[in-house]
Amino acid sequence: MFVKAKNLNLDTPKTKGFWLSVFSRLARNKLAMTSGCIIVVLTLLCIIVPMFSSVAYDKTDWGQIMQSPSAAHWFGTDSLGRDLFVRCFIGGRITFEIAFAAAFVVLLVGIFYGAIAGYVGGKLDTIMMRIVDVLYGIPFLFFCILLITLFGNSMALSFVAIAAISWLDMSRIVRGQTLSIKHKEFVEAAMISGVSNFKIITRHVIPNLLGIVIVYAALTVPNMIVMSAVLSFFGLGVTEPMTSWGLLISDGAQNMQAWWLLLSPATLMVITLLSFAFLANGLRDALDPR
Amino acid sequence: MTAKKIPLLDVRNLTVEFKVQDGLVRAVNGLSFKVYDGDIIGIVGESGSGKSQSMLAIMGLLAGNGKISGSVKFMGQELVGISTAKLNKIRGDKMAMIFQDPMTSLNPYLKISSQMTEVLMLHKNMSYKDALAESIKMLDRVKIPDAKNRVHLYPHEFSGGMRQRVMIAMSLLTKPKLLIADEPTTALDVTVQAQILELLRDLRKEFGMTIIFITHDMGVVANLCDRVNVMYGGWLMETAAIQIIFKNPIHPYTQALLATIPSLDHDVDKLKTIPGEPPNLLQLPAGCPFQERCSQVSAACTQNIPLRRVENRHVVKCANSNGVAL
Amino acid sequence: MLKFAVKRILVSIPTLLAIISLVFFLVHITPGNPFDGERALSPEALKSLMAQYRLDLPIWQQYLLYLNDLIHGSFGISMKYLGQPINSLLFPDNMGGFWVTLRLSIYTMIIAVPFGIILGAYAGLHKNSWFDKLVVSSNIFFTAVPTMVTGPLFVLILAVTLQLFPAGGWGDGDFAHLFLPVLVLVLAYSPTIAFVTRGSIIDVLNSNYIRTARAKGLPTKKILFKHAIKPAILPVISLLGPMFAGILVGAVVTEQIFTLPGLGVLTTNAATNRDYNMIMAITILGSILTIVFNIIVDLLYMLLDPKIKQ
Repeated sequence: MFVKAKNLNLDTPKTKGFWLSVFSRLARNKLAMTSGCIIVVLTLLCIIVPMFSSVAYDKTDWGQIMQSPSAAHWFGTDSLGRDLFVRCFIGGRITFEIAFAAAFVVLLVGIFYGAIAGYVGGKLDTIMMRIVDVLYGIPFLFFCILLITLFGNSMALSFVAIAAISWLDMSRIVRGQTLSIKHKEFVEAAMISGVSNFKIITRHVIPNLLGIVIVYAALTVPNMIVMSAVLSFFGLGVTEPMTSWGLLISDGAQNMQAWWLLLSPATLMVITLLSFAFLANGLRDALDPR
Repeated sequence: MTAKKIPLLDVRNLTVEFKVQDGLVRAVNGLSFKVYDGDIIGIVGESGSGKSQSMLAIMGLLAGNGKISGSVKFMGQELVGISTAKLNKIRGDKMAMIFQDPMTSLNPYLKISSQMTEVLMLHKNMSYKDALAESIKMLDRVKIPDAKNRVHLYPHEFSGGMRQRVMIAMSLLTKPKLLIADEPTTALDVTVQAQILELLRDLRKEFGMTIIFITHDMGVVANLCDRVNVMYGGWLMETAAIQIIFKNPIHPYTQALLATIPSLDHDVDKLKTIPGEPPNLLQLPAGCPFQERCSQVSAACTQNIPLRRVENRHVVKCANSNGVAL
Repeated sequence: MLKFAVKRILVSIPTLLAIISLVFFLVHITPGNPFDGERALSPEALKSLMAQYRLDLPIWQQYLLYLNDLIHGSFGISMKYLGQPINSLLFPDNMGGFWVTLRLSIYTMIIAVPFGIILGAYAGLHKNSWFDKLVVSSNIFFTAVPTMVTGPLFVLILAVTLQLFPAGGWGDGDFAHLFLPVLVLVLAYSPTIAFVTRGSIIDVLNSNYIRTARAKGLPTKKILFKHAIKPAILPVISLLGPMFAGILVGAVVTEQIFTLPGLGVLTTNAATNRDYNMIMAITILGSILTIVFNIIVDLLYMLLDPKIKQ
């Protein structure tokens, strides 16, 4: 009340200085930075480990069935004698691929849908948002399973199905943000002075959406990881001998005596999900300091 | 008024500090003043002057991160450091407060009747029925039409001015000795403002109340008050009887405030304002907090400046003033 | 009040109709028929199958007949268990199908809501205490890590290693069998409730009208239970609508972990057998539940908020 409020950055036109200060705030957030590093390292491991490993992820070894972790097999082996270390990281690769691809589609659809509804407004806005309301009424898991059953069970389709039901939140957020930007003085001034719609959208609307989109992207990726893992529990999505974290956890849950089958992928997934959560928190704090 | 009389409210060296992210903020700095029975004291200053925080501190209503030190004696009783239970016996009964924003100061989820009767049931041990009758009487008194029925409505069913009347009626239920009014008219439009001031003036006569009136508007002070405290950046800058302040303002800040009163006698093209921005309490300069905006600034202004008595009950804190240091 | 309730129910009918139509046409416009994958059927057998499932009729006729079935409370006939009505699979006489899922969801709500509210209120009243920090961080943890990870971990520790509970199965719905699934679900959802309650308590206690109540000299208890409780609880109530849909799905996932005979098994079987009618039924049933629960939440909200009352 008596301390002058700092300018709320989400409300002001974005400048280079703004992004510099966001970055410096983020850099000072140790938890978020550590989380970011963990994500990068895990992603690299998922690429590198399967490439340079001496055993293939689908190489069965009947002499090495259900071995607990050892020097030869760091994470142990599964019921077919396959090396779990390699499988965890190839599974991670698949999981990340699905998650990033789905998140990309979600962001793309969500931003366009929300921005159009918010910017055009009027009847179109009402109709578009009504559609979103209707889709919100469907429990997402069942709808996703319905889509996969209809269009066939493949990895590519499973991420399309996940994305198809996950863009709703994004579109709502973007629409709200677009509406508020539209009524900001600097945008209204641009409209009055005859700047073209295209220029207003690219110069003012999109840059101002960037903050919220970045935060939401960091939240969407882990959501997609969870969604694809949940589908694995229903026997959908990735199929053997290829694997994913969800499939590995589901396998582990059915072979509890071999604890490493569950603990290895579960630990990797928990670390990943928490890292994304902390990174998203850090990004939000950096973009909107209060 | 003789100095021997015991003041109703005796504030000495009151300091209010807040712990915030960037350190400690001093909202009020060693504030001392006395209020005698029947007075209307105006406390004037811009936002950040500490005028509201000092009054909230007296009522024990500071936010969680606020710390208070010094002494506040009300009817001879020390209030600083007193337990909440003991304070609850006093506030709402012998002293009451009304707030700036009538739209949010009443609980939107409770009926007016419920919010009013609870005061009487708590402090005067009345039954609900008696308390309701008393509440309706008081609503009538503050000129709420059809009070008998409207007492059963929710706050959002009243206009802003009506809500402030309800607030006033609620605070007067127990006939408090002291009423603290924190900018009660700021959020209202001008005609309603005048009606509320008129009402306060009448009620004060009727109930023999003492009022502390917080405002940033010197015009309101001129209309209503007997004395005025001018505050800036958490410090008391000048205090005197109202006639003296208007005749002989000493502090340049007081002079600047007086110059902002729009006058009907002269044709003025523009409303006058004080140049510069209200102070940032995190970065106050050493010495006088007003020095950066002062038109009469001198080298002495960066030194520690004591309060000086110019004449009886006219005290000022300015490096360039004469008078006896207190 | 009644008017509002009726209006609220009427408004949700088009939504439900839209969902049903979307699901129906999605399924029926997609090329191929559900019997494609089956072992080679003789043309006559296929024809009679198609007739039995009305697939030989024009699509709009199928649609109207399906709507007619739904209005009469029937979800049609299973495409896997030939000739068996879906209703008998979804709502069996013994414990199973929908009843399992519903019971899990209801137990979760009954425990998670008061539990979360109490934890959140305590945390909000003692902001920045160790307990408050625990509530905030457990919210971060349990919103990030889903039941499909926590569930198996609980089974590994509490059931397999410590042998405290059975690792799965419904038993006869007894405490021991239900403890772990319900625990997993409660832990997944109560931190969110606690977190929202905490935030709303903090907001309310900082509000001007609570300051007024303090200025009146009211004792703390009275301020909390008379002035703060209603406004603090409202955001939690509006959270419950979307949360119920989440719990329903969460319960289905939890069934998979604990091998409970609920909607989860039916969904998996339907997906692997391409039993379209069954998946449609489950999807529509889920939507109906979500919509009904949202109506209940809205009515509850209206009861508590005097601003909406008129």
